[in-house]
Amino acid sequence: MNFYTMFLCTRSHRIVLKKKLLIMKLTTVLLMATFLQVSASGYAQITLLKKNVSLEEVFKEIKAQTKYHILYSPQALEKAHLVNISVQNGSVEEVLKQSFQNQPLTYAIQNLTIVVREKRQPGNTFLQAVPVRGKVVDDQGAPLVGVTVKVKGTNVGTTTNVSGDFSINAPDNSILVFTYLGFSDQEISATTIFLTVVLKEKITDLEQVVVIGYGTVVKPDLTGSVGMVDIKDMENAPVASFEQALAGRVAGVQVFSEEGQPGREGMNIVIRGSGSLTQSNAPLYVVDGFPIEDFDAGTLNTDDIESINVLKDASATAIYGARGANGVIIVETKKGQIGTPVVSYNGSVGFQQILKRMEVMSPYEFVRYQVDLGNGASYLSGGRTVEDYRNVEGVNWQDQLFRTGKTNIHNIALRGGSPSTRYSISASMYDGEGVIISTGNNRYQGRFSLDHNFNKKLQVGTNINYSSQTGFGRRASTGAASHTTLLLYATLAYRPVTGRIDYSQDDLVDDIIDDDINTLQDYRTNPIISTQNEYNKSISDNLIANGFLKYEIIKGLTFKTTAGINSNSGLSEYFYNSKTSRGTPALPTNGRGQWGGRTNSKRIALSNENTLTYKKKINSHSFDILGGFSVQESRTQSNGFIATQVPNESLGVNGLGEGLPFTNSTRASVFTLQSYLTRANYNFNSKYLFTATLRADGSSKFSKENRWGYFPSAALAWRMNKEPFMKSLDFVSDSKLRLSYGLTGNNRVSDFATLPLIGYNIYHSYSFGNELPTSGALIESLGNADLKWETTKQIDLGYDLGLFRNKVELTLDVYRKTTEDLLLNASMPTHTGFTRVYKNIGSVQNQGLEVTLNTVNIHKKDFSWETNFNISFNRNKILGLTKGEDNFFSAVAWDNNYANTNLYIAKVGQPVGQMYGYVWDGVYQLEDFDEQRAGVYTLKNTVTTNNTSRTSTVRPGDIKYKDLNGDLVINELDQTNIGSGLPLHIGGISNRFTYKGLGLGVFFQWSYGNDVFNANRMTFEGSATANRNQFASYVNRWTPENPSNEYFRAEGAGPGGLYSSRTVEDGSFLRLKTISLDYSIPKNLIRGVKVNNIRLHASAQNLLVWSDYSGYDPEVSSKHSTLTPSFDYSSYPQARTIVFGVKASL
Amino acid sequence: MKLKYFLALIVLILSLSSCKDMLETTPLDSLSPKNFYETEAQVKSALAGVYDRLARPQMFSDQMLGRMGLDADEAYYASSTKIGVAVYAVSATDNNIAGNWQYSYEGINRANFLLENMDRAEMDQREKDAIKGEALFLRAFYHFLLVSKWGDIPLMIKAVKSADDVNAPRTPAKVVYEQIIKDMTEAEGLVRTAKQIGHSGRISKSAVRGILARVCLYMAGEPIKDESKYAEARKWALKVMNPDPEDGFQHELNPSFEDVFTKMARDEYDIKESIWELEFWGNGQGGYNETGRVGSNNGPKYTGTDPDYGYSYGWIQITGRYWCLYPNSKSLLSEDERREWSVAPYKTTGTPVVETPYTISQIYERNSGKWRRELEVSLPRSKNSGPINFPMLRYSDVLLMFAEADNRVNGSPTSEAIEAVNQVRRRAYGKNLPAESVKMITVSGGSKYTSAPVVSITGGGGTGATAKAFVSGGKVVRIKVLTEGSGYTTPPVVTLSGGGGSGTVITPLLSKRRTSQADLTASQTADFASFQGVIEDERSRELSFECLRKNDLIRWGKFLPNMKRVLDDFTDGDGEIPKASSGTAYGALSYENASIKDLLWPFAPDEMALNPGLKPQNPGY
Repeated sequence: MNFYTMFLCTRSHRIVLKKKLLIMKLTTVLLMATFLQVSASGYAQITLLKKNVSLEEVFKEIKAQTKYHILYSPQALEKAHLVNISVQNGSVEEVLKQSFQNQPLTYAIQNLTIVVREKRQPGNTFLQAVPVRGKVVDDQGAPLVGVTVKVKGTNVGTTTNVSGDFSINAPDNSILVFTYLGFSDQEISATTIFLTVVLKEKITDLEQVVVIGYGTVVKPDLTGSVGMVDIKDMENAPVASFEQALAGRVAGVQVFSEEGQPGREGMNIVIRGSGSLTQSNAPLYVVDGFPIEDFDAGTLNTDDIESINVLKDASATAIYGARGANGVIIVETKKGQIGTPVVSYNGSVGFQQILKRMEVMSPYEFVRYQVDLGNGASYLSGGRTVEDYRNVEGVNWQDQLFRTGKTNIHNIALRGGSPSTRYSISASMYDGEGVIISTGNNRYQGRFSLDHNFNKKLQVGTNINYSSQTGFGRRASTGAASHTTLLLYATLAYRPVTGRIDYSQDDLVDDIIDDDINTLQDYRTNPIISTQNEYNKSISDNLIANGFLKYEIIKGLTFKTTAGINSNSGLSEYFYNSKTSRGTPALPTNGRGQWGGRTNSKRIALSNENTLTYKKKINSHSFDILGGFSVQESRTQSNGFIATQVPNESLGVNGLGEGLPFTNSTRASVFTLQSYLTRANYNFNSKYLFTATLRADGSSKFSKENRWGYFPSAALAWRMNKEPFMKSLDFVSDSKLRLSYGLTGNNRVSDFATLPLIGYNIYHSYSFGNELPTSGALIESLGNADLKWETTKQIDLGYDLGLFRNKVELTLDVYRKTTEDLLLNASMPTHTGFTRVYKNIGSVQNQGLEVTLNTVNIHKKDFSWETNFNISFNRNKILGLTKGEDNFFSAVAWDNNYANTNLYIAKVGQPVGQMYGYVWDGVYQLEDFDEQRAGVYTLKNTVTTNNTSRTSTVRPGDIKYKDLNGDLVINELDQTNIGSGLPLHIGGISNRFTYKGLGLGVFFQWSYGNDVFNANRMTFEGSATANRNQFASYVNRWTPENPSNEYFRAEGAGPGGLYSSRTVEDGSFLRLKTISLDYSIPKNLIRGVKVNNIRLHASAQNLLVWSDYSGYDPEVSSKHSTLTPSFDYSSYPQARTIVFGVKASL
Repeated sequence: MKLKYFLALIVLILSLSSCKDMLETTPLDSLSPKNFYETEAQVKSALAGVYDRLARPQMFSDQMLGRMGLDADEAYYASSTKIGVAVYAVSATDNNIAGNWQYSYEGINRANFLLENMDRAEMDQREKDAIKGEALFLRAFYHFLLVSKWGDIPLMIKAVKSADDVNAPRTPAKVVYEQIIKDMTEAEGLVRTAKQIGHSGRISKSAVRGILARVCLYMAGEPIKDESKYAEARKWALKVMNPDPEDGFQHELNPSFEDVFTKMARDEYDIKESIWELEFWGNGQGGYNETGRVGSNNGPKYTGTDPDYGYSYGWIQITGRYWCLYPNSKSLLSEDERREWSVAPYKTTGTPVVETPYTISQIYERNSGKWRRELEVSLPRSKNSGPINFPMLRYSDVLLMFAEADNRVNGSPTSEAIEAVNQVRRRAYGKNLPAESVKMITVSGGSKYTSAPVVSITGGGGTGATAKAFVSGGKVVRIKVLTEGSGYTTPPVVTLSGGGGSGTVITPLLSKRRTSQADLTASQTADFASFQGVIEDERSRELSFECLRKNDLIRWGKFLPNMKRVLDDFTDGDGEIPKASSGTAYGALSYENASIKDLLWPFAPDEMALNPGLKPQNPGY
């Protein structure tokens, strides 16, 4: 087993160094003149203080003090002169540099070996053939048999034997060429001695290996639609979780966050549209081969990621059968590479700011509005006029709430390995302060992976990832049932000035509550004090540990078994003291005193997968057959409590035990899955390719009769460019047509949806005889024993084109995805006693087009420019709902007054997520009325009234809606679709430039055609609530002198409790998502420093947004679900992040 | 060779992990009906779940109290809201109506689950029978609420077992009523007596009998008009009045009308008068959520934060016509002592609180006052959450139902029927209370008060009267009688001390119990029609704001005429009935809106889409 043990050469010939060699050595890790001991001690320091010593003497010292080996021919040393060395605790290089000064010799360091040669004399072209021996292995360390070894420019050649060994007579100063089918050619200087040559499988752009479900495939042989993320392009994005950088990177993959709250961004990934209406549309994640449902991408460090592939079509996803319907994201993490241990560090500091502030009324404008509302008395007491407020500065609440957040990111990794053992150890820290005071998040994470080959046949490996993530601070968009309890509401609504005679703002700034507001309807509290005092923290500790064993039973037949655990512990705790919005006694609704709660949750998922793979190639026919089975189990449990009237608030959450118990809860559930899977790949000459898969899944969520689902798929691909008729088109480097069809499944219903369940709930109790209430039992669910798998049928037609040696790569995909037997949390007629039951009812279709274009525009020695572009169009359509149901309405819980008003409609024949309401039609103008007498107006009989009475209620300047049915009255029959939460197309374009050591990446991302419902404007444009500040835009409201058709008059909001198109806004945007600049410090500048590479970088995330949206950011969905997208109320604004960092490796 | 071992190993792993049991999981934190309903505690919890739905906001804990138009001509919704069932602007999508429907059927479903599964419970047989009887009764009562509001409805006497079992046709109302009577009659034999239960929170034999009387009256009246049911109504009412000997118990009226409601507010029971109360409990602090808005929706409005008062929206404001059902409409004090309790004669503002009396011309402004949160004992008071129980059946109702049914059966008033009404009236006029008391103290004038003076009441021949003063703007605005005392023959001397002011003119008003005429006059009992008319008014005087009026009017066929009568009152008044003030003119909206379609509530469109059997929609929607 010690074939890689060091061989010291005793070759006695002159050794000539070629200049080129040094460059090669520095630039490639593929060549290793010798094996490298896996030991960091090779870097030990050396002390040598000697005068007039021979080189031989020096070498002895080096060997004694370090682990370096030195190769030289004694004859060469004869020509050397004596040297003076003075190095104290220096590096070996230092010693060598001094030793070789003015010598006729030169040296090169390769890993732990120093090779000494004579300097090449000009005109010395004398060549002499000498035997060179060596061994050729692949990057896993396995010997390669039959590798052709040739001396460049000659016919001298040989091949490697069964052990990968070779021996060849090569003239000194010549180059050996190693060629092997499927592997990149290697050219290596025939340096003396023994060579260990590592050949890498070909990884040209076209021929890169793509990780797919249960295996890998070279890109040309791919039959399915797989989106590949350009990790290089992404890695400079300063984000906590890779999802945050994924938007716009892959065609067909929509990624968005619900808001900007750090650590609680609510990332959503939807691949090729939403197939499910009420259930999750999240894709399945497979990390290092382990399928993980409900994966938290934040548990991974972006720096640890080697590749991300997105499986989109059924051919690619069907191997994951039961859980493939929403697409699959395959993440591979970085593994150790054969070679010296590489320590790399990547650190940055960054700054975060919000992109814009909302313009609110100035004190003058505010007071004028209060006067218009009839609330001016307190502001105008003591003979003051509105004009007196002209120069009052007022309080800028946004200035106090928002700050410059900071991020600190540190990643460190050690990776290395020998042909038999590879390892990777990494750790990371992310520390982020949000742009809102007292909010932020952090993460501590570590990862370990080890792969070991016991022998040619047996291989084992393990991956362990641990992360602890914390998000803290007040939540911006959640609160009590009134919209006035939320943070951004309070910030924007808090008035800039009071009517106090001395204009003193002290009480406004320092008190928890504004004394003049009506605390029965308006629950706003001082946003600054409340945010500073609110304790709200959630901690998520996640451990992923898994291992595999692979054994090659006979040649080509491999058995692999894996076992893994994914354990997630969550702790969320909160405490509202007397200076917070929910704990202050100043609000009459706060009946709980000072209170808080704590919830613990745990999820453990176990999995075991076993596969057999057989690969065989017979002439032009290649087969690859996979069979396997797997079992999974997932258990969840949670418990929590709330305590109220806590006596000692200074103890915070730890003093909850002293309060009164309020509620306590425990939940637990379990689900298991068993699967059999098989796949066959066949290809003829890599020209005709065929893939078929079949997976059977049994889920504990379904009753025995319906338990098993079968998910087949098939795909064909034809590489036309291999046909004779295309051979002549030599600019076409690739031309492949793909067609696939298949079925995937979904079982994402609650674990026991088939069973009727009876539970106790404190809210269903009843007190008999004034006694402590008797806990009430309720029928929690009807249960539906007939539930079965939801099935998604998908057809995909794809075309890949590569031109000019793949400098231009184009991928087109059209697909139609139809989800049937939809697992719908369907409406029940309530006479049954139930409002919802899971049913296999309904059908949703998504069809679309995806275009990806990658080009290498310029590729020169010093300058390159590459562009990646993708665009995707998806059209969603509901084909059916529960029997009898044409519409599925959804309300958004943001305010009690709207709790029963539906804003979203899912209608058969239309896309999901449509906004529904009244069509806004401007403002009633004077000419719409008959003036009965001065100032008394009656709406003309020909004009539609927005209220029942024409005489008294409707007035000039009031809001006007469109009368759709022409009955001249606005009522529920006048509602219609007023917007769509779904974009028409999304995409991204990335440009990367390099000039010498300088790199620049510019990445834009967009979404076009989606609407956002901006509910903030319902509160801040024309709210009649006293002392509530408004958006500056509302200054332009209707008055007889200013007959605005856009902003209704003060108190002209019309009937309450309805939604209209007035606050539906175009949510299209173009975002300069990431821009990064990096600079590699030239090697000659850092020669003295013991590092291989230092790169400085500056990057910005979310730098600029072009959008017509009037709110903080158009990428928002604060009450997100598939049915209720793009609703904005009091959302945490998205931040712009700029970081400066350094990457170094040694 | 190795291959063989490996294949063997694979087969082994396959057989291990594919063991069939793995996919058989059972719920960890809930039970299924199969393993529930086994112990007495479980069965009692299931019963609590059945009661629970009645006491939710969609039902009697909030919406039905003044916000669903159930008070009809007695009162209107004190809000400028223009849409919704509260102001008879009902659309089929009305959420309050949909919620009421849903919660009633949830109650039915829970009762059905309980009835279908409880037989196997191992528990005391007496308790088991009682629970079965209560579940049967409640299932019937939920159906009764539904059939009286929607007409023909799906009759659900079996639990739905399958997700596909969604089609339930409308059962004719008559059939539904028959099932209700059948279930309740069975329940009567199973439940305990009022005495055995000892409080009004569970269904007793008396409650079943009394409600059966109500059900029979509804069935006998519009729109079903099965007049044979009057005799049954009479029979059931009489069973309450003359209970079985084994009941060991005689229902009686509380001598004080006021005390019926102060007891409710104080969480005390009066099982002789208040036969069935919907129970509310606590103040919403602590884990339970068993509170209601009795007093908060239908009490005197109070929107301050004085801790001695409870927040109240005062949603119910009375009509002039209702006011004039009582005698002495132009006086601050009526001989019928129900008026000044059922209608709060003062308004309540500010923190700390100031009560200000209404003038005699302020009628439409007044709130219903039966339930007053200042009397609550579950402290501190929360804004929307109180413990006051709501009366579902009172003995006075039983007496009036008896009289009505008896009059129908006999075609003319009998002495028993007249006596039943007179019993209610005598109590109303304080005839059962000792002599005269201080009912009210009016004030005028006065100035320079900086704080409330102490009130002392002396002389007048009686004892025990106490009062409290409220000061506002330097004046004593109100002297509130806290305890009325007794034995007064002449108005006592009321003096104020302290408070820094002077000059207040004080007039104490005594009750007129000795001289007032409570019993019906000969003309009122002359014939069937006049007696029926008296009973109709008497029901309003006695049972106002107890969610009974609208359906009473409907069964008498008087809903529309009565509503239109009030509409005219608002603008023009009618004889002694005043018109509305400008500030309350908006209240006319309900009466303007009320139309024939309001006899029945609509089915929600969602509901109709999901249940094809629900067609056709009720008329007018």
